[in-house]
Amino acid sequence: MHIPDGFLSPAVWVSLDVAAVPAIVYCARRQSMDATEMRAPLLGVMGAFVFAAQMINFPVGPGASGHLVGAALLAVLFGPRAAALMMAAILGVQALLFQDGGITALGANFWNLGVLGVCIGYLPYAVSLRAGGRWRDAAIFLGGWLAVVAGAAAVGAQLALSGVASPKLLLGSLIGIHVITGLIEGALTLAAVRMIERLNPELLRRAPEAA
Amino acid sequence: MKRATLVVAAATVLLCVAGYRLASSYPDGLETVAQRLGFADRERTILLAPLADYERSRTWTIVASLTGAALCFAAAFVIGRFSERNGARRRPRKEKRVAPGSAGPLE
Repeated sequence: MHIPDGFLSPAVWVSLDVAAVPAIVYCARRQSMDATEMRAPLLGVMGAFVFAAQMINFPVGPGASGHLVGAALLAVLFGPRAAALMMAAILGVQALLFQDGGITALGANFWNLGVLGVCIGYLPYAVSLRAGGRWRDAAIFLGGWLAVVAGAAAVGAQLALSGVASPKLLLGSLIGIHVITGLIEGALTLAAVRMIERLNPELLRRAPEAA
Repeated sequence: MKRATLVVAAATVLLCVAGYRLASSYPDGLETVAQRLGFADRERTILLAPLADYERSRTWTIVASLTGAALCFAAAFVIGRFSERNGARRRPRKEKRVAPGSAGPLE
């Protein structure tokens, strides 16, 4: 779902690049976690894992593939601000070293996957935490699905604003494919969270009642 | 070191070394739509990235993947350290807000 260079009009990519700077500064200044937990090594390996997982495409329909985005996974594990920063770092490495996603589209990709994907992906889990952890697994699955579908809708809207095709066709096609990709994203997000929770139960943010 | 950290690190190395064997060669969702709706040719290369051609050979794919993963590890580790530092600064204020023995959410 990484937008390459050339797809977006200058007005769209410049505004999104400029708007990404204060968003990253905000996340960097406001993100925090319990210092006693010493989770930096886990953040490091999860950043590397999401990068590696994004390289592995799986088939999602005739002639199309998808890959893990990991935005909801990082948000559930580390909170939305740290997750957004990690996504920014991953997208930066992919664009600058691997030409996976455009340099000019870096801001757009950050908004789609790093901000929207993380916030929408985290929302159901946050609601579940507030409700005492009820429907937690369903919320994590839903977060993964929503992150991908919302990201695809945002890509469609930006391409439509850039005038590459009709908004109806863009949104219909992109959301249509990513509805299926999102199901796999939801399942992989839930599986990864449960595996990490089983290995180190204290790492996961819990509902207040369960803490 | 936490068990989860070791398992995720091992899974990452496995993905980098052997993951490409499982990867689908079909275009991703956006590329598929770009081809179907006829705007795929708008794609431009404005900077030739050093590891862009990471499907050149098996060895190259593995080395490039491991390099990218190592860089992402470093960046995310630094984010984690900053996070811990911010957390250490804010913790005393949070403790004041929680009544002793309270298990309920912060008000």
